[in-house]
Amino acid sequence: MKELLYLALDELSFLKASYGEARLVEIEEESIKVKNGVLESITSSQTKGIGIRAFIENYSGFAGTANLSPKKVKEAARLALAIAQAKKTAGTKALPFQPPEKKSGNFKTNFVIDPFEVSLNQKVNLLTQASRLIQKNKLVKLVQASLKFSRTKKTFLNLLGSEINQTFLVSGGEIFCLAIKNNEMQKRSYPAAHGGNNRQAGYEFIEELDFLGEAERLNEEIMALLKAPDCPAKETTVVIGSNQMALQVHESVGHPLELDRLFSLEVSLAGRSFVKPEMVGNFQYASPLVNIEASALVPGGLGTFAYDDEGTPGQRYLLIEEGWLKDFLSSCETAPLLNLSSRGAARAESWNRIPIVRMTNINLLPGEKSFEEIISEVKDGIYLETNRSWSIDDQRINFQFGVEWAQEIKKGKLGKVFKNASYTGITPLFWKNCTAVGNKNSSILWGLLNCGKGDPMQIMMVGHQTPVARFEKVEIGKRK
Amino acid sequence: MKKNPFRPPSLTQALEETLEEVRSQKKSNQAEVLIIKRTIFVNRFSENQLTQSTWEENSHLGLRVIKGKKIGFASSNQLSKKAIHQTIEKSLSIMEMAPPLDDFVSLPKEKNLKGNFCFSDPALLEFKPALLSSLLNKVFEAAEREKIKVSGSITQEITELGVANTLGIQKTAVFTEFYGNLITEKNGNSGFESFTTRQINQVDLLKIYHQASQRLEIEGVPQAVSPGEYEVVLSPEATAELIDFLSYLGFSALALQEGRSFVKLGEKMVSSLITLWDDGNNPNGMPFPFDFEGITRQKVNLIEKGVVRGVVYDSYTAYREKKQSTGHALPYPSSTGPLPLNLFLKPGTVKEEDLISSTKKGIYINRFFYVNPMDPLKTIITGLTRDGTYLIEKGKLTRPLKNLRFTQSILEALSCVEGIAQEVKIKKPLVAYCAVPAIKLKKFKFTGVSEI
Repeated sequence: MKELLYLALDELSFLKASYGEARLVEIEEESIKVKNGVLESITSSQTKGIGIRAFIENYSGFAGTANLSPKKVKEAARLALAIAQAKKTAGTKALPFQPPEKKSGNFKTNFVIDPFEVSLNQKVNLLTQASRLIQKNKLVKLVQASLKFSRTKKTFLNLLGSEINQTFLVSGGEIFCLAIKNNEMQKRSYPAAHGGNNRQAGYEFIEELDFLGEAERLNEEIMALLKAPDCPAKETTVVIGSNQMALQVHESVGHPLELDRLFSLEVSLAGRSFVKPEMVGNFQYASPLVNIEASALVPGGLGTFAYDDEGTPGQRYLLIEEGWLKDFLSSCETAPLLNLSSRGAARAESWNRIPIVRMTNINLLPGEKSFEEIISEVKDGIYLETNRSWSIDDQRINFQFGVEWAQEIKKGKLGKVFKNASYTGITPLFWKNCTAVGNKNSSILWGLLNCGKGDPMQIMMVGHQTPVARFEKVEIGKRK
Repeated sequence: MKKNPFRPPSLTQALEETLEEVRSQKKSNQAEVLIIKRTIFVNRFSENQLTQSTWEENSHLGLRVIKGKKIGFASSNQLSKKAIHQTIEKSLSIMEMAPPLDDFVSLPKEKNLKGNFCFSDPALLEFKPALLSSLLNKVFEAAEREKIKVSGSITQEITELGVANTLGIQKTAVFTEFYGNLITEKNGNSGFESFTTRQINQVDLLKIYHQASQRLEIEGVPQAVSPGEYEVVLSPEATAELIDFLSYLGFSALALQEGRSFVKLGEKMVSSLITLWDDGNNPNGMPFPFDFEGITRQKVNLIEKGVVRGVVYDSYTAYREKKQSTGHALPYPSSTGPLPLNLFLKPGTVKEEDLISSTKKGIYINRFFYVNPMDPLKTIITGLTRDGTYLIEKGKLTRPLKNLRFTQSILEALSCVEGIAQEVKIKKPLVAYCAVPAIKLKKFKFTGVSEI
């Protein structure tokens, strides 16, 4: 179908577009859900289409079509250009778009076992067995186990002569249970809530997750939560587990450093950022222990690619170095606003969306201490694990997270369990109070499927490699 | 808007051909096909400049096939004969290997087997980028004159939807929708107004702009107030967010059957001033006469004078209780189960201004942001205020406030309703279209302030 992309570019060229690009995206997905030990659904979906972005000077228009007839593709190219022309005619101010250099290349996810070749029976049996291991307790009202696989083929061409072919294979799964007692509902998930964990990998990643081996632990923990007291409300030391740290980095570092937010391009939906461009190099975002990178090069990460959706090579660089703000996530449309080149973070959900600034893999680099050492140094505090709810304001200042699991820390040891734990903070104040970052052994690569941004909404897969970390003076529990 | 019969030939033919091919294979007892064709044109703007304009046309073909209690499902966004054939083959192969779903009974059926509906505005059936740019330019010019920055987006959408099953149901509809939001900013103060309609001539963008900017002249740098419980007046936008979340958390029959709903049928759970229902046929809302299984949407009373009266059903949850579907199925498969999509909150008799003037000290909330549930059974949600939070003193909005975080049970909030305004606006916060007025609540719990 590459000829359809050439057709689109030929049309743009004929109509004297200043620049243009065309992306063909084909996605194959399979999803299996088992509820309470019984298959709820197996779904298989195939989607494909072409997205065309056209420029007249710096004015851009975008049209995407699922109708892959030559006539419709040419019409879409003309419409993209007509939209750009309408913007120019309206006299609006254009962003200083700087096209990427001409590139050609390929990328394919490394994997061992193709999940689409594994029998549905095998997948259903795994989920059914794991689900039934948890469901044996009567207080457990709902157990849901799921697997999700996707294969995405992208072909990108532009008027500069770039040609990029990339194929991404993603595998992931989740199991969670809900237990109810005395109008109190508790949830426990593995390996994480909201879609579990996901990798650019094959079925071998599902085998690594070991649902059957983890089911018994979930069973014990959900019962412990039903008996546990409410998390007390106080200011204290918190140690945050790897999965919750992934969301902490995502919401309070990744999103605030998206350059489109800094230039008010996301006001209509996601909002802005408390960070300003002039803060680079002179704003202490976090304690000196904190180093956070953006990397499109992490093996298996959901934000890993050779080229972003504008054709810019994937990069690895520090956003925060020893606590100081160093850089942003940017695209060909936003980096020139600071007279910089794109950092290769322009990503589109599919063929029907334009590339916008997104996270790649945003990683908290590991420190020196083990999880046990970090806990052993706490006289009085709390350990928080597995996200349950999240909320943060439009400037990314005030956040509040609920977690599924919390444990008291007394005199350097983990103690009793608390339910309904939550913590809240102000982004830079919270990060400046980081007093320990866990070592490599405490760091896990997380793949999030559900990062929402843009208008129309784009759901993006992103990655976070995050160790456990400790923070002082954090407000936990429900304020009375 | 005309409710004339309209039969989109492309969908009807594709529906019939798909079912015919499934029948001819003689591998399944029942089958259901859902086709959606959607074209969307979105214009985004920021600080008086048009920034992003995107157009897309996409399709969805969803096919559910059944043999006894075994179900297979496959979908595609391609509607060619080859793609339809491949989707059929895939769904049948999944069905063959799937273990039976013991409590599945049948696909739905009803008396009204067929229907073709049109809820479209001819003016919205054509995409005119230049026309939309010029409409927005008038807003930008007004904003420049008034030294206001306006951001937001407007969307023009055409949807053709058809659903058919082998029990005889065949329904099609065409909808147009014009919706968007405007955020206005001046001197550190901000406002917001959203709109949604099926007809473009029902929207005056300049009027929406003026509504979004009407309170920007309230002077003062936004100040922080201490967290705690306050009396609040919620705009229709903020009211819609609470009502939508309440509905999402509890009014699905599946949530009730699985024990994850707060609903206790027949119990008084909120103020007697609250009457809430779902009605997909009400022309004062955003009519959508059948659900994604093709079943006619019934009016369902959810809360009457504070007493919880009902939940909504699709065919699966209805058969489990030997009831009839209320016509609230979402596209298969749906883990959330059926949901209300057309909510109406009974209005009161006073003006929104009266709710404010009767408040000695409180907070006006124009909009909530980033709301998420913390405890679904207790309907505790958390989120922030955004774009128009004001202190009310002696019946007047006296100064803008910094955004506040709230952590609040919706049921508790709606148990202390002090007043409901008469003017109803249609909003779409997350899931459902909500036709709601402004309301006043005696107590609302704020747990933090957004400031560095």
